[in-house]
Amino acid sequence: MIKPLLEVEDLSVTFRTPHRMVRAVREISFTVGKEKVGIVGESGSGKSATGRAILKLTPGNGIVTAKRMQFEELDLANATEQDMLKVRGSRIGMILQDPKFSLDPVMRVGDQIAEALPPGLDRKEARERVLEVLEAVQIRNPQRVYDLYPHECSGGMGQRVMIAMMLVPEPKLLIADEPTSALDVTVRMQVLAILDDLVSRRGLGLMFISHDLNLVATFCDRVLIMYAGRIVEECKATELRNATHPYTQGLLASLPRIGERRKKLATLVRDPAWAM
Amino acid sequence: MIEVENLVVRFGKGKAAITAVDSVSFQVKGGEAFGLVGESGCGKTTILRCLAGLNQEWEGVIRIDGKQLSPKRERAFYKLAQIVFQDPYGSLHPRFTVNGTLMEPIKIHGLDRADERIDRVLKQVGLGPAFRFRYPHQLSGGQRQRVAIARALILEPKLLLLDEPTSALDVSVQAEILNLLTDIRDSTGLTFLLVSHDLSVVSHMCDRLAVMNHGQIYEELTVDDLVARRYREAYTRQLFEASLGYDKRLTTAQVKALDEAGA
Repeated sequence: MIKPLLEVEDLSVTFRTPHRMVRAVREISFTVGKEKVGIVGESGSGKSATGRAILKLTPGNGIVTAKRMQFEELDLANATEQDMLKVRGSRIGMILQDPKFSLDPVMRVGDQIAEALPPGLDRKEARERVLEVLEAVQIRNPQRVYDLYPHECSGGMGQRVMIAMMLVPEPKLLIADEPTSALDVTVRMQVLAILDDLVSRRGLGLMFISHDLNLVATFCDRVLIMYAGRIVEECKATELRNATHPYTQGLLASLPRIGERRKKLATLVRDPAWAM
Repeated sequence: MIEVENLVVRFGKGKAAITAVDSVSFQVKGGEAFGLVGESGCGKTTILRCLAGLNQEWEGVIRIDGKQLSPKRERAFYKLAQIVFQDPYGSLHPRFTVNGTLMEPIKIHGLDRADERIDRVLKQVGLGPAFRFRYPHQLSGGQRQRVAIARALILEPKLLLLDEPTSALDVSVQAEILNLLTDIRDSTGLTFLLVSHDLSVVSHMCDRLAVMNHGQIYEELTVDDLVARRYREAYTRQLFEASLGYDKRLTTAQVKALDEAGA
């Protein structure tokens, strides 16, 4: 069997708050290979905290512990901030939900992408490289888009710019935290198609964090379902419909579906045992 | 219940003017649940705001319950139609208790039996009397949306305007709120106008829907027709297919088509 890109064993994230300790992620273990792994859960299930912990971007009041967190040859669990500077962006990229907040509002998008290029390129070379990556994310008129400011980009365009920026250093693993939730459905599909294409062509690993079960089931290869900081179920995306955990089943049943005319939607009855 | 004829809404002046709603006409019968579907910027919320009297710059004809409405509304209008907003975190006054929020319309309209009305409406939305003196920050997102619905129902309106009432909520909470709205409609015979970007929510709640894009209604159809894929417009098909989930084949074809269209 091929060695996965990322192996995580017993990862926990705990936040100190003035009143109590909040255990956001509790001893979860998983691997990510050259595939699309979906992490699904409702708000507060710990899915975003997991993504951030891998890049060591947990806020100061958070404590991260893991028995093992291995990314290729690098031991992330014991990596220093110095080590992480060489990993973030260049080997593990991250895409966040809303391009409006992740791009610098006062800088042309092309120049922002150029910042991710290795140093030593002259202006012309840098521009050429940026235009190439803009083309790789299906931007049709890269010359024009290079000179736009973020507020002049639509949501879908902004997200493609973000993806382009992440791709410049050719990372091995992409962590995408709700990358399409702020986008309209039709634009969402285009952005997914681009991600899908990149994963299969460049052999990337993709951690796709989302609250949207239906999307993950149709887009990813494998799905981890999180509840109260734990992975309660893991399955192939195509088999999500046959999930066995009552939480997953409950979530699936509570989704309205086109063509399924039910008077009432099933509501989720939470069993305290799931959070044990 | 609702008749809209050639509604036009423009924002801005001169060269910068944009037409957000471009001569839209539709009708909703009493007791019906009608959906307005479309993507951001298509004008669906603007139409709802015109109906609710929150947007006073429009041209055209709006009739609700047989009466033609002017942009500025009489107080009596608000006993007829009420609105529930998308974001339950933003739509409740943070320094009002639930009681304070629910008292406001009672005072404005000079209604009697305030206690009785508040207790009844809280029960109707599935919150016990214990919630009456809580502040919004002491409630979960789902509970807040129940309070927002209670606030809309307390005047016993005939028409409920719903602007993305569940898009800020987790799916399991969404199911509870949608079920609550179904119950309310069953017991009161209210007319619903539901604005949403989510075709599956609209198809679950509504009898008929209008698909909007670029400020226009592209197509009006029944949910049964939608489910049976009896749509005429390519845009409706695109929305429909996108809401079924990701499909590589379809999407690649669409990206090509859009690129060629210069989008």
